[in-house]
Amino acid sequence: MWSRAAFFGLALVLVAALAACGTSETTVRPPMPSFSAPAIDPLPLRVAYRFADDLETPRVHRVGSTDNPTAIHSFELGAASRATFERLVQALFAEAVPASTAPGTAGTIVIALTKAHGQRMPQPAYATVGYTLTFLEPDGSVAGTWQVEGRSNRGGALADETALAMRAAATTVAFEIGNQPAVARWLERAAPGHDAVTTAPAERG
Amino acid sequence: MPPVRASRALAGSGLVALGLAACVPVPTPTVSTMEEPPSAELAALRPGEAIAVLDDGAPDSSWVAGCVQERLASGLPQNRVLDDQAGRDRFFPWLEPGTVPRDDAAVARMFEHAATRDRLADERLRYILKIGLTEERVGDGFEQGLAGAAFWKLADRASAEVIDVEAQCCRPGGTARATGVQGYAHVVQWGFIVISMVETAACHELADALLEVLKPAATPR
Repeated sequence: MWSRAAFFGLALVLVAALAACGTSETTVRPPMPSFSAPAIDPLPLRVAYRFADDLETPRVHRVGSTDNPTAIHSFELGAASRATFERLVQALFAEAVPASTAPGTAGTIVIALTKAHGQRMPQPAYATVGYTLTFLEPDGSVAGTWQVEGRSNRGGALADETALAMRAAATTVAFEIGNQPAVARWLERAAPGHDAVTTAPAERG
Repeated sequence: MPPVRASRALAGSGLVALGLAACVPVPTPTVSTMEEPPSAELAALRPGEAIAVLDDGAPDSSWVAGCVQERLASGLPQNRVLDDQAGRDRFFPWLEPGTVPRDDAAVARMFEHAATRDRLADERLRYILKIGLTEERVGDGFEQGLAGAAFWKLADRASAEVIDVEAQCCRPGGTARATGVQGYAHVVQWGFIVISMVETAACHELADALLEVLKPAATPR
């Protein structure tokens, strides 16, 4: 006859073993961005911006094999991504209006979340987040696309690593958006005297 | 008490004592010194001015940067001492890991932006301190096989690089070196850890040297 202590001991061991064998499922919802609007001079452009329709859709990352994963992480980055990019575009352009298209703008930027994955084990924990920015001309044609990725592997909680990865992507956007060919063309078109230079016969030589 | 029970009790309490000893860090003395003083170009802060103290992005530097920030904050009551998070948030994206200006040319690029200059002026930020830590094991150390003990001598260097916002350039903020012994020994099956607080000593040495330079001059009565 088993004693009560032995029974509970065995039950504990079984529970621990089952927990070790099972697949953990986690929802990763990073905190809202804490950084201020970028302290960078805005580009002299009026642009429209919008988010891809599936921004709020969770991105699921299965750690280990697809059929028998050791962990399933569901990344819900919609709200944090929206807050991050609104803060960015509002500061990086002289004027940024949330709209599909807007009259009098140089073009429209469409922001899509294209990648989110990460894992806690083995340490250090890491997260990677990727966005695609599509630049649309005022007539709706695609002027260019830009893949931006951020990564963090400081070993913290997965939500914190994800927030840091999003922040790294935001840093790249802040420094590099002016160098994107589509934006460079918009800047060129918006430069004072652009029309005069391209149309004045004397200038054409 | 019968002799057998007495010896069992003694052995039991001995084991408990050893087990407790396993949880108690054993401090050992450290020696710290300034290898390189802060630049003579650094000047005392004016009351109300702020500084930001960041780590250099390396995993080992985070703790020592926090330590220096806390010590400076307690020693500079008339000034604001922004920690790593606050500094990076306020001056995004210039002070992110990997984007902090490393030389005068990079600092000049940062100051080309009126938005950056305005933000720095709003905060009355005078200096940005980037704190790093390097750790090296001095000599081979030794291990005593019977007790499973291992001790080694450590040398930690905490250093500061400073962005002088007024002068718009980089300056050396000094390097502190601390040495001490760190080790681990088995007692029964747990062990105890000898802690010499080498990092703490390096942090305090560097922070105190910076305090001497940055502390606002006493107002004459």
